[in-house]
Amino acid sequence: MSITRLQVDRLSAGYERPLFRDVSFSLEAQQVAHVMGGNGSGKTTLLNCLLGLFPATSGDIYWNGFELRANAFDAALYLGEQVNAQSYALGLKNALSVRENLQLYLSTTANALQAASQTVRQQRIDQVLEQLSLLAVANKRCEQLSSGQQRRVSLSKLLLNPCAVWVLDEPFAAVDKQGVVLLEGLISQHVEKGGSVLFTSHQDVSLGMSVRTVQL
Amino acid sequence: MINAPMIFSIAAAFKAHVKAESLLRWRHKSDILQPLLFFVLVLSLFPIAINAPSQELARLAPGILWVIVLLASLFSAEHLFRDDLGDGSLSAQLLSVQPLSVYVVAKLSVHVAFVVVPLALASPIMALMLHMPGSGVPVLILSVLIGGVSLSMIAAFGAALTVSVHQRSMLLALITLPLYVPVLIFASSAIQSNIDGTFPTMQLLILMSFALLSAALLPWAISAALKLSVENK
Repeated sequence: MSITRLQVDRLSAGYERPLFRDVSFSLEAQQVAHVMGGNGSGKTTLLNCLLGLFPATSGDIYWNGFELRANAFDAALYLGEQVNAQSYALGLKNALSVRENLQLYLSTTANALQAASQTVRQQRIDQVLEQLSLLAVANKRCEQLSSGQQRRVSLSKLLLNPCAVWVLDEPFAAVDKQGVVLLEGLISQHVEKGGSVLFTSHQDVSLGMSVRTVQL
Repeated sequence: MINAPMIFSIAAAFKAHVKAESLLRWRHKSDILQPLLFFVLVLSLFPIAINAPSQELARLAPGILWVIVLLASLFSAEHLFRDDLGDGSLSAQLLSVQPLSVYVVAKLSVHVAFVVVPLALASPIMALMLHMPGSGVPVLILSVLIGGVSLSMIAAFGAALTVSVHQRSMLLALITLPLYVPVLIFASSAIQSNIDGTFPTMQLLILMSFALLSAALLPWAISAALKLSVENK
């Protein structure tokens, strides 16, 4: 029996006027869902609603069978909240180096490495940075990196913290071709291991597996 | 239920937040210097503006010093959560399984260390400029240190409520200044009382109780205000 990780029933949300109405879908283990819609259709707002960062006007959200807010979010990882058309809030501190940002991330989120020694955590960070071709800039401050590199740093959190559900807002934005292939590979591997992914993107994505579409 | 690994993870998260926040402050030295510079510049104008004998200036010194400490603390807290809201780290903290108050307490501890402590250390020199008797200086330092904790907590509460508002300065002042008044009254009265020859035990204990009460209760109120601000940004 497959596990229903996320279930959304007749969800509506918006500001003065509704952005979307009666959206229903579910996300199960080993499934990928692509949230689609034009600019301003409420893709980021939908993701924020699902994680409790924005109040929905009506509808229900269940994570692992539990209603939203009754469940802790250690199961889901949220990356790249869109602030406006150009910028994304990647959860990175610009004045800290890549390594310092990841150390902060490992120490402040629930993950398997939190109780590990400093050396073990450092080794894991280095492994992940190497995998994402970021080892050369590990000691550079994030403000000195290009937006594509910053995006890669934020993506490295996916590898550091093994969450069941990845919630990704425009993960392919500002990433070069090589990065797109890398991220597609990461998503495929995550799904093969039993994970689920929910993402928004304006780009055509070829993941080599069936992708459910959520149209707003 | 809180268990041993959870306490460990909260302690580790607190330590990591303090380390990162200290590094950020250290790398943006203007954040440390700004309140201090405000304190020195505004205070140095008083002896020039008030053309009065030194005894008169000394009589006004406790009140003047404390009003400037209060304003320096208010201005320094305005941007306390703004960067974290903008770069997404505040949302990340809200999604973390750890209580948001861990992040808030860590952030405010660093704020006290980098803003209140330098102000307390600079205050004796400023007191000299206003011809304040030396007998008032120890209580001045003590009152800034103790009262500064309450001021930081109150200002952070205002900053959390207004973090997603664009024209926030005026609103922040309107929210926090009425809450600052009791601290201002007891702190300046403590210094005056010590200059007059009576050790201000009562005033210092009241200041201490304000500090303890705000440190115990306000982190939760700040966390709730931050959640509201993120939802309404």
